[in-house]
Amino acid sequence: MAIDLVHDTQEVFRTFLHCMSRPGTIKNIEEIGRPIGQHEYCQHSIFVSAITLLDAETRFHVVGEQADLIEEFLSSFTYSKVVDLQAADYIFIMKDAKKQMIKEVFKEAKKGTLTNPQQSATILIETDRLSNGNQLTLEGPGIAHTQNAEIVDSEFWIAERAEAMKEYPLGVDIILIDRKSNIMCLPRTTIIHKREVY
Amino acid sequence: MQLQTHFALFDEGSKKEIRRAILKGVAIPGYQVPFASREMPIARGWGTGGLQITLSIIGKQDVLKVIDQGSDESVNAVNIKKLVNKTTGVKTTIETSEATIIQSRHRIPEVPLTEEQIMVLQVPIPEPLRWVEPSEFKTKKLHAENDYSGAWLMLFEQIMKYGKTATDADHPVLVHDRYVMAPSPIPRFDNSKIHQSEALILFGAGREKKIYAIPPYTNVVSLAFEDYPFEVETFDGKQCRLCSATNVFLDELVNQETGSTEYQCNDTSYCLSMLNEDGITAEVEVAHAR
Repeated sequence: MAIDLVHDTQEVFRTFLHCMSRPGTIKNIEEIGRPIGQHEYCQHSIFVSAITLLDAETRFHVVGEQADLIEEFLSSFTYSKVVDLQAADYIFIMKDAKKQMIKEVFKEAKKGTLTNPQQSATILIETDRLSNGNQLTLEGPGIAHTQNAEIVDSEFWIAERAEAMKEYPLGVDIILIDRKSNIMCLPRTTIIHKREVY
Repeated sequence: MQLQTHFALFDEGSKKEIRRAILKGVAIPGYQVPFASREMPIARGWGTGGLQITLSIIGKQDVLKVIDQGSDESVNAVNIKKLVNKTTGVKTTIETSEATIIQSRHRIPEVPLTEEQIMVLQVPIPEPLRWVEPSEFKTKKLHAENDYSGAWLMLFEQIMKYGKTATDADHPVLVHDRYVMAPSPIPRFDNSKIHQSEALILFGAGREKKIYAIPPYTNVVSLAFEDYPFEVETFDGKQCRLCSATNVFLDELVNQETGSTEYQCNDTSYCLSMLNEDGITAEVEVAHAR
């Protein structure tokens, strides 16, 4: 079997847990499970992430050129329901998503309520490259002092994310996945500063 | 016929649901995330919350340590360790530094935790406002409105009655400047260990169906008044009768025959490692346990 539903999902979850509790930390999940072949409409790391998080109790939405195909593909493996942006627990933003749509996601995604802040969306963003370069500085719980991060195309959503986090504890949590299956997480508590360009 | 249990006992659906709750808990430090607490092969109130977290996060590579009120060898700790070991095959240890997951009831080990470790604490009553407000509906609203006057009032009343805050254990803390949280019944002595901890700390309340978390390097402040600062238990001038350790949490033991009071490390594995380090042989009375 290409993916071990017990142990592979456990490993992916622990990667998420480590990265979510240490924002900016990068961990790789490339070695976890083997791609299942030509039926895969998204990169393998997105697929194992979906398998780890989604089931029939969750609702999700995909944004991107091939959204319909990917939605059908992920839903058939997880029994998770495809819903509108506003109702989704998990939102996948694929690399080919239009800039305007990315902004829309942060505006429309569930932020939770003050009594139930956990009823908010987790956004998984596919990006070209993640690194600890000095484009951005991260601050907040999970970070000892500050943490450097470089996220390709982050300029399309950083301002919108900040807007969505305005009223902590309301907000959205982000899991970033790059082409090399690197993972970085940005929970709602993380404050992102753009580094000044000299 | 011998039935083979599934890895870590739980079905994958249960694990997934608990994992999602844990991730949300980490993203909102100190906030109690509701979850569908499962029936466990141990009774509620015996660490089902902690056990559910442990079983959902544990993998083949993990090394597990379970402590009950500082002791690795108590019935509760031993049985939880056995259950996890039997269903997962993971290695168990009493050495704090060796463990990757430490499940504990009412103590945080004396040995500082590291970035590679996850601390899982069992929680009987996760709601710090429960003593002043019995309704869950209302306490949820109080958390939403950031209204913690009840917690302050509780401490104020203790000062009026006893001249000091008399929480003993489970002294409420303010997490990341937003949520007041019950740190589980750890002694006040341990409260400082969850402030800016290097390890991730997860809290599980099985009976009350809540999971919450404190990520590493998070500000955790014990509630106190300016004129009545937070005080921890002191053991000035006292030392462990076995390993002579000071600056650790000590148990007070009364010698039945002589009536004298003796002190001993509460963290048994720490005491043992101190004894081994110094090559001391300690004689311990075990007649009462037979």
